[in-house]
Amino acid sequence: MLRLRLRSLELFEKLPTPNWLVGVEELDLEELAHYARPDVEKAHKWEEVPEELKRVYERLGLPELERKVLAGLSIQLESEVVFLSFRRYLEDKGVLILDMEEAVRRYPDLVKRYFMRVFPPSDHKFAALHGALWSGGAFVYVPPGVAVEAPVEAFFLVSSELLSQFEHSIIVADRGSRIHFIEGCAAPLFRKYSFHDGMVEIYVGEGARVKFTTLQNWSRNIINFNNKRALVERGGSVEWAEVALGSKVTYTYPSVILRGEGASASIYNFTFAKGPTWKDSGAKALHLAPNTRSEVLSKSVSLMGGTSVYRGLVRVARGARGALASVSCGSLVLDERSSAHTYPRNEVEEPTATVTHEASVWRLSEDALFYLRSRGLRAAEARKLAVLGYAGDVLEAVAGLASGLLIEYYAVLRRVLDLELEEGGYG
Amino acid sequence: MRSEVPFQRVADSPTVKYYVDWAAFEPFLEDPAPATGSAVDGRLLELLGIGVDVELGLGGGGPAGGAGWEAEALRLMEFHRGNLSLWRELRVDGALAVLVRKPVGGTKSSHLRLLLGDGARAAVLLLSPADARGLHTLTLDVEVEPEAEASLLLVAFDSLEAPGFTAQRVSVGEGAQFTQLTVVGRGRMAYLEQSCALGRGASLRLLGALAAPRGSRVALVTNVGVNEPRAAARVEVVGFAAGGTLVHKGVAWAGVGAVESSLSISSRLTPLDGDARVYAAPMLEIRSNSVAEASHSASHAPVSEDALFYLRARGIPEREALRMIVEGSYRGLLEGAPGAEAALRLLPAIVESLTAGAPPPGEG
Repeated sequence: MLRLRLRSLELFEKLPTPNWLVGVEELDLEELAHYARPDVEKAHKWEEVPEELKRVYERLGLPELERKVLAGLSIQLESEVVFLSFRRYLEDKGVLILDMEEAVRRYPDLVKRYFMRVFPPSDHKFAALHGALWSGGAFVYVPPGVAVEAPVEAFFLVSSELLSQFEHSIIVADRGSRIHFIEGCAAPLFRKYSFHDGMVEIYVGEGARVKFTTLQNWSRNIINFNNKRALVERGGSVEWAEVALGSKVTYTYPSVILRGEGASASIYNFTFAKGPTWKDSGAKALHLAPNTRSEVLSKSVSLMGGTSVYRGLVRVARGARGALASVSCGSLVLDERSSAHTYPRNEVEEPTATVTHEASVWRLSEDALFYLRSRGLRAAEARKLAVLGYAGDVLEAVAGLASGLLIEYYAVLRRVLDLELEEGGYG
Repeated sequence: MRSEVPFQRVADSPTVKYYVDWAAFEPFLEDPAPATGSAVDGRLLELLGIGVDVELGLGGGGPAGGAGWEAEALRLMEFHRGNLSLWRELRVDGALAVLVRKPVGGTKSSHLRLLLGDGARAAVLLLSPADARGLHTLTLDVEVEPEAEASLLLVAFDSLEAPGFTAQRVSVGEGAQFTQLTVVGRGRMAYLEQSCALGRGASLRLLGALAAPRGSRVALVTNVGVNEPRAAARVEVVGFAAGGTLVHKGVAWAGVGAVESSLSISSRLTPLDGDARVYAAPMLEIRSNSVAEASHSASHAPVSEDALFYLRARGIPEREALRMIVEGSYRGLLEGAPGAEAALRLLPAIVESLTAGAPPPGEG
């Protein structure tokens, strides 16, 4: 691990800073604390959590979710995991849910097989920085044929300004297994900024299924870089679902490498760019094997001077016969100070592949607003309803509402969005 | 000429940066020898059936002006400015065809400015023999007068031995309607950039029919900007590659002033065999909610098995059926557009070059 950190640091110093980044001018790595040990012991039960911290978690609804919905919960404060609990029956089935430091200590060979293999530090400058400074995160291993029915959640909290968080999470779903992992992020509003540069690697074995959901609600002065990549073997499937509500600047592009025949991926994104923020998100799908499938559905809302960007890549390599990829992007711009950009790229080297991409930029339809107002809604209410209606399908896809699993999360998402829109004069 | 030609800027679109074979230009940029003669592919000229009114050869018309705009290909544009030896300005009110001759060796750079009045139907023809070994660079400045209805046909059949660079700027005046057909049939490295700006209430249609047979690499960059009210721009590109590489980068942007304007880009590029490569990057930059409509779409799909089956069921051999489908796709794009008659006459030659060596679909 030390060798990897030193090599990553060397790469960080050598690699150029991408010249297309916007809104990161204030990022000064010298003034940030890259590791902060929280002043609490790690707990495995709520009773062991200090009262003050427990009140924060209760406000976030975590104990209730853990009781009602989740199979496991990990909470990271600053740079370390401070709470980790998961159901006993999972342990009996051989499922491993550990914080990353513990996984490195207890299962070094297993971790070595996966750590920064699909997302190497040489990928870009901030991946190298992550490799050098990572701390915290979760390591999840699901043995062959085991289905983890209820979701597992990792919650990341930044509670200080001028702090960097570099959590590293790995999910390994062995052959024929199944798991749903939820990542939640939150931070209070600081006077100065903080920096988040996390990484998630997912390894999906033959016929395995992984769903990874991110609910990001950082405060408005977090600079958020997120590196996410999945490697999918024969017949496996992965689903990335991402809701980006907060942060000042976000750069995140969940990616999949479909390496085995018949592998598939779905990527759902919802981005909310409110106020002077830059939300750069997207998706990448690399089809390397025959009969692979990928689907991307991305929607964004820009208001009060916000900018949302979709940046995507679909690449079909030669030999990926019968590959099928579809990308659909929608952007809703609510006022004349806000903007939406889309930068997709399609690279096709296989004549039997079918790749489709479509994108549209919308504004609120006057007809729809008139219809709603004619039914007695106030103008602001009508606007809010129209926005929520526009985002409805992607939010449902993100929350997995069709499977009825996460109605609690869907309700929370709708409520947060409601509040954000009301604050912006919509509702 | 500037002693130092700048390097390509890093911020260039990856599509263009990685898939344009810049190395093909390097020997000419490093050692820009004067042109040693020029040539035209007479067979293509005959097929087109257009009488040439003006020829841009190797000399005549001094470098009194030139391209004053920045192309994405900074290095090529800088070279072009330094190497510019021929400058012409033409006013077009009826039909006019300009033939640009390809140097058989060395380099040649020319600048053509067209002022299009109402009813103008201009054609710019770059019909190089397949074996010409010189580099030509051309800047084409097109200005469409306010309230005019005009069209331009740009045909580029470049050499399979040497690259070509064409940078075009289009300014469509207030209330004017302009249609451009761009037909690119081949080229060792045919690189074309088109930047368009629209005035208030102006309408623009950019149609591109691209072909990359074996040995060809064709890159088209379309950049359409709107910052005036009620303007409409539509970009449609259809392309087939058989053993070659096709690139289309389409950028459409709308500023705060583009009230009730509409923009759309559509890109349909199809690889016909396993050696073909197609890359598309249709981009939108919308900077306010005043735009009425902004959309883009891109698709890359194999030739439809159903369509092939339908034709084969009627006794048409497979290769002929493929030809018909490819030709039908181009016709669907071009037919009905002003100036399309000549472009349609070239189609059999384009389709032949694409399908002659192509294996049956699905066996790439």
